[in-house]
Amino acid sequence: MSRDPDVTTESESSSAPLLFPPVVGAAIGRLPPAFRGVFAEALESTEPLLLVDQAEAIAAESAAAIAVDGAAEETARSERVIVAVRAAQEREEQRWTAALAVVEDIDAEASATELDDLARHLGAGDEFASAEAFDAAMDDEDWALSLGPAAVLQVDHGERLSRIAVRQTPPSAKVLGEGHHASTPDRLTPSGGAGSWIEGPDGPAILLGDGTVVAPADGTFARSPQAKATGDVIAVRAHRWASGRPPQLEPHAVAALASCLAARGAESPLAAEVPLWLITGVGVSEPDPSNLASTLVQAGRTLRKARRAHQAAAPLLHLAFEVSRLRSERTPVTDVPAPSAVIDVGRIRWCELSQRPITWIPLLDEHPDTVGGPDRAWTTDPPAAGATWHSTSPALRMDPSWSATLVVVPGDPNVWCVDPDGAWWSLEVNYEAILLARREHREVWCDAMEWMHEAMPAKIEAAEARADALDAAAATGRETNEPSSTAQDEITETSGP
Amino acid sequence: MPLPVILAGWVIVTATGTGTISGGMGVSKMRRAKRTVTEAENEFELSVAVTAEARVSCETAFEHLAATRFQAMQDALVPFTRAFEQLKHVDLIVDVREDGAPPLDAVEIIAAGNLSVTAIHVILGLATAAAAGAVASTATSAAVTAAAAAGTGTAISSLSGVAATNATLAWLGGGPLAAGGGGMALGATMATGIAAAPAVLVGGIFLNQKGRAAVAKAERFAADAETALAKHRECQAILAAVTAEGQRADELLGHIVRRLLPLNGWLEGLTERETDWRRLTDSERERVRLAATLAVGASNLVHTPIVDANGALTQAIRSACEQGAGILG
Repeated sequence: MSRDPDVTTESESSSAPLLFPPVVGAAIGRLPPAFRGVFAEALESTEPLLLVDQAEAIAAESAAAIAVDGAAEETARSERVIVAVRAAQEREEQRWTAALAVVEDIDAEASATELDDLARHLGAGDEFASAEAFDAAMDDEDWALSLGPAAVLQVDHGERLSRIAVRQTPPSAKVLGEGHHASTPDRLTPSGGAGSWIEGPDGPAILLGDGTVVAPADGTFARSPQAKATGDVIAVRAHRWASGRPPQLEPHAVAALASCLAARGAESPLAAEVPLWLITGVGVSEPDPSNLASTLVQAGRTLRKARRAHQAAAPLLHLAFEVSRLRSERTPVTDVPAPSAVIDVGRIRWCELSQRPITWIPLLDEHPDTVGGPDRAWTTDPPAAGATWHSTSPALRMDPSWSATLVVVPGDPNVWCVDPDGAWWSLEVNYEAILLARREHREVWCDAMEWMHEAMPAKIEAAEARADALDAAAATGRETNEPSSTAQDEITETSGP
Repeated sequence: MPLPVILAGWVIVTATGTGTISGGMGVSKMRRAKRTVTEAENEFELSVAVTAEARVSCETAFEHLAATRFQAMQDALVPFTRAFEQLKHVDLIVDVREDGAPPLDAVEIIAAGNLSVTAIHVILGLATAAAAGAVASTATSAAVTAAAAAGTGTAISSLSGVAATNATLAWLGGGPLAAGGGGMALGATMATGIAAAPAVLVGGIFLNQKGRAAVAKAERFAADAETALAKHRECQAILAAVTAEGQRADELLGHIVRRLLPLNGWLEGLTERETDWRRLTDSERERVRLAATLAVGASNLVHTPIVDANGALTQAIRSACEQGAGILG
């Protein structure tokens, strides 16, 4: 993901930390040159860490703005429904009252007109509308009075999908029959380990679940048969010890994104950066194998050895970096599901009250501490990059038994829909576009995180160098000054009373 | 006051003051976030209770309707059918459950309005964030103190030697006391202050950012709660309309049955005497039409669900929902 110039360019180009109020910068600027570095160096060394925190706050504010917009839209929609329902209720009330009045007034000696009124108010049908009509019906050999439930109307499920999709032949013949079997309305069907990882000849490769993998090749993402990759299948998840869980894609979304990137031959980051980049949008190398515990032990040892304050700066910065950095957790996948020619990415459901399709496309973690907020997987709009997405279903009553499956076919960036009868529909929308739009407000954090990973090692090295230089200067000073107690006495005398 | 002291003091006061104010604002924001979440949660819980109450009212209305339907079937429609079929073929489909009652209308019409992220989760999220973030922010604040100490040391040591250090400290203190300055003691205090001030500043800014994020998270939660509340209000309106439909259907069915019962007795007597439609008088034919019309009306009210498992609301309510949702324009 490209870096946001607002975040990095200013920060990198400025020697004074931008995160601090101008009054602090002005104050530092007025210090004598010998002391200006006290503030500048100390504050700058923590700038990347502070910037990540600031980016987390910005992403949270953007998420709040999205939620507020969604709430306004849904509130307006609900108010329209309430007004319409109340108006309908009033009309119904009038209808019931009129029918009740007619029934109450009717008696055995009712006139023909009164009977006609009764038939009309009770919705009895044409045969009862007049004496003549009833007479004709009673004389009709083929007519029988039917007292029972009305015929059940057959629901046209195709009509449901036609509002948001176009019926088309699938992009390849081999996917026919895929995508609708074993599909449950509220759970995706994992297939062939889609979203899991395997070590390819040129680095990590992601499984698409159809017997192919996507991996970087010559600087671009390319799809190839899985048979070329070797090693165990593993699951990779992003992790961070500090606050703000990384906004990581669920495995099916990572596989679908990789498929889209390979389909358009997108430029890839370095092989070592690919897993975390695909999962979180943060292009950083895998952290070294040492875990946090060993880092803590190492930092503890260094701090214990520190005899002066300046010797603690570098290990403390290192500790802060290790806690704040993005790392990956890898676990072996022992049970790989059967392969499938499609990647299951969502569902189309049906709201029985408002008679409209509801789309569910889960992408991200749902933990409330996720940077940029938990996933917003639901929309009543036609699914597209510009749709309004909600955290919960906007449908008051979804058809529990009907759903259509949304899939991505490896090699094709389009989102497809497979209805329960196995018919294919095209949503005419790019999966990657939806994903990037949903992740857009988190980009500021991704950029800050990338910069932190890039800048902190240098900051730590600089702190180490400063400490070494200071130790060396102190050692030189001791050698130079040890015999010169006279000089100190002179100073003491001059500064004393 | 000598210039170095003023400068150093100004920097210390500015930095620590800014840090303290930022930190204070952060704490204040976190409190505000918690208040926002609590208020949203309380309002949401209240709305959930109102919806539950509306659902109970609706279910009660439909239980009454079910009983009335059963009575209508047993006391009015079955006797009518027995008598009327002497004149004309009639199909009566007795659609009842094992306990003899017609299928009860399903009234569980809410699938939305359930917040998947509860306030408790959000608060826990904030607590987790605070705990995990504490490690990073503490380490960073400590590091900045150490780095500042290193910076002070570098600046002083660049003059080389203990004498130079003492001279520097004396300079920072405004010069030797003999010259009217604060001397080494004040200089050392100033140096310590310069070293500690960045930590206060960084810690305060950390806290402020955390507070800012907490407020944003709380606002997001409140907005999602508002969405859920809107759904609950919508649900309450629909439940009220459906309840009214059930009550009116119950009332009308009761009246129809009361009108039909005596006509059934009359029809039974008529068909015992004459079963050929053509031989009935006009008056008798009209009374048969009256009985049949009432029977059809009763049957419609018995068999047509107001809300069923397939969401078959009365067309009026369904149309209103569609129209309100923007489907019908």
